[in-house]
Amino acid sequence: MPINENTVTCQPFHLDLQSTDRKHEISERMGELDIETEFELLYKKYGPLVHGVLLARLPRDEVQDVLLEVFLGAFKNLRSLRDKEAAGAWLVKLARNHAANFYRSSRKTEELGDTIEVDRSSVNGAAEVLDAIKSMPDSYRETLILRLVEGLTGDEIAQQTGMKAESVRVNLHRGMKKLRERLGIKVG
Amino acid sequence: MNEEYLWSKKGSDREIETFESLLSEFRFKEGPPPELPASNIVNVGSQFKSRFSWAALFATAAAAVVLGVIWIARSTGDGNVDVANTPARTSSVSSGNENRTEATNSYGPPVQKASLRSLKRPRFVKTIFRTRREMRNPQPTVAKAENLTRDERYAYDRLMLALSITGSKLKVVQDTIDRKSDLDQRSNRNEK
Repeated sequence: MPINENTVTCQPFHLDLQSTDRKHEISERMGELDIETEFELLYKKYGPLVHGVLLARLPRDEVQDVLLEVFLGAFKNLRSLRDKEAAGAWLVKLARNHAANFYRSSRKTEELGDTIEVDRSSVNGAAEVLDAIKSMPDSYRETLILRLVEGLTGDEIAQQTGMKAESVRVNLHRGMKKLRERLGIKVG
Repeated sequence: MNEEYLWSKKGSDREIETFESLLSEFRFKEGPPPELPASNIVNVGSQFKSRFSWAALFATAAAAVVLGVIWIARSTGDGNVDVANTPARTSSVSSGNENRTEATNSYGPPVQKASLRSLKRPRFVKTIFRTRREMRNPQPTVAKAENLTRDERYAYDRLMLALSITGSKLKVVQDTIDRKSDLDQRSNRNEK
């Protein structure tokens, strides 16, 4: 949901979560959120975003573990986050750092990747598409995964990652074009 | 390709919808947030820091109390509580001549002239940081009367005069007694 004029910007997070119950909403409006409730809201709102960023960079099997590490790291430093509106961009940065650390710490081990799967019959097409997306440059693959896998709209991607809407639009358009090329789909 | 659908999911685009349905199995599965470890909630480091700071504060306060007690004991222990040196009294001093201790005191014991150095030193410095010379040769107590006003000086002189007269009379009495006892002893010897 885009930010409208009625949205109070001094709140910890915008009240556009459908899953947010009434109690959370009232306490949020009063600015009395305890840190665990705040963390829960953070996880619900930005879980797909962090998951998408990690999926664009890591093997699928590792995504869930690193996702938990990112959010636990975020929880430890949650009080240091002054601008709650920038929580999305902050989490994206944390997720990118964790992904980089993952490859740094496992440099000596052999990367199997997503190409070797025991049972690929059910996910064959999906894995091919995902591999094609992951072979693209960073900006395209991250935006495409957030749009096609996580189901975020262009506005939501721009709002949560802190990117400009125009950049997201360009990345989506060019990314789709490259995806078609890699999958051998002709533009009709 | 429907650009509007790609941007805001409005309308429809068969190709993008196919991609979405294919890739939906990799989507984030919403569940309960990860359980937070207890060590994240209790900050051991800050607790230790706060305990240490409390201990340091307590030690400082105790040291201050001990120093204060020592200072009070030393200032009252020499038996020269100088009432005349209170700020209210010293503010009433009008001329500089009255501040000086007179070298010639006709009634009391001979008094040394107070040096400029000792006049400038604050009282607590005198009390706490006594020099070895001062410890060996303590200043006469009369030197404490250096800041008296004119009336106080008069009263002080009268008192010293009275004490001196009393002392001299006592001395006469003592001499008389001694003389009488000597005479008694001599007469006893003569009788023997």
